[in-house]
Amino acid sequence: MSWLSRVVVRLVPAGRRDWAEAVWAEAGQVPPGLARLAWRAGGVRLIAREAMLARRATRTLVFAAAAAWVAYAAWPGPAGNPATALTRLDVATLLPVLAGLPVLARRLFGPAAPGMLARVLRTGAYAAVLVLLLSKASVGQVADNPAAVPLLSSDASVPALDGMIYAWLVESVFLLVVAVCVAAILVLTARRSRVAPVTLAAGTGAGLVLGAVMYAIVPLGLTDHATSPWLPGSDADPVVLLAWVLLLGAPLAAGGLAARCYHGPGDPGQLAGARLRQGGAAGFLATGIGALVVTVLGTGDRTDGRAR
Amino acid sequence: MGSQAGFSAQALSVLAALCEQPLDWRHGYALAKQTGLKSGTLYPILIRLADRGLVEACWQDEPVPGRPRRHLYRLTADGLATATGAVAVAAERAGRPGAWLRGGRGVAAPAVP
Repeated sequence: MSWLSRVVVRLVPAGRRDWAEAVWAEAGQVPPGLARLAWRAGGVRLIAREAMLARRATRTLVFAAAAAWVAYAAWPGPAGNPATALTRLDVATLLPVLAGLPVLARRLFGPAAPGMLARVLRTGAYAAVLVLLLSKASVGQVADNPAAVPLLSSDASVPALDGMIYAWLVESVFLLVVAVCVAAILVLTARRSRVAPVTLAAGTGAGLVLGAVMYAIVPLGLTDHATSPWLPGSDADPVVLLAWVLLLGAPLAAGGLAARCYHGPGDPGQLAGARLRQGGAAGFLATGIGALVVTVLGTGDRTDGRAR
Repeated sequence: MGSQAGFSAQALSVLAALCEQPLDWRHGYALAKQTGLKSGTLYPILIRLADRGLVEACWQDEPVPGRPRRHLYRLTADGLATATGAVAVAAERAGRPGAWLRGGRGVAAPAVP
């Protein structure tokens, strides 16, 4: 084996190197020319595949370690604090969902699409959800944090049990939304969904901008603290109007850009349909990423009790 | 591509090829020629079969001077039993021996009567 092939074979996990070396050694028996070239190309494919499998194992281990740490950090909480029970529900539900979704997505939609962006998106989404879990738990672990039980009614006329049922209901919706968001990102970044790289880029970019700006403004003036202290104003001020424009406009802009930039194969009729799908995917991605960003940042901000 | 007894058509063709001379060590290029599979398909199949304990592999003891050592393969006892059964089941399901290999890759298929 040449020094180059020895270096390439080192990419393969130790237990598999014999196989990679075997393909290379066998190439000497194949007639020179195209046949030998094709044989070596198969060897390169084998090495790439085995190296990738090793990376998948590494990713799985990293996720398992991160999930275990999140569970360890998030589980404790003050007894009698309703937020502790909700946090435990989050941990017990979301971590298995996060572990199972990639397996399901891989089976139904294939592995991650080629290219760095798909991987970065998946990793980012998983990191965001884990951080979100930790942030929510941190809020709940502070018993006197006014943000710890935001869902329980402060109205004395509402029975405590009704307040808890309402809180669990809202928490279930939150879990469902997060799971759908992660599932959508896995599907959109899967090979068989055929989402173009430009669509991923447009959706991601618009989603990040949307999330960051919405966080800065505080969403839509729906709370008592409609705007940040450093952006004083009423529910109807131009900043809140900008939030509404962004909420609706960013996914539309991302969708329009993705549809415009998509030049896939097929006749004009098929192309129009494909562009529509790419635009929809970009819009959905922008909305999902924006929501994830604003939720993670917003929850993190409440960790020290500074409910915004 | 259909699967028979848990094996893909390509894996069955490899098993069938190895079944022909179960005691002999075979090398990759011969198997590739016999099955019509490319190296990028053949070797992952051999790896999976070895992982399942159906195929054993070793390096050639006495290489031809000037040539690298070759990696050799043959069925294990379990592999022979499994392969014989799988090939028979596949042929039975297809209605006639070798029919499961139709499509150009079935060099190793038993002769069609």
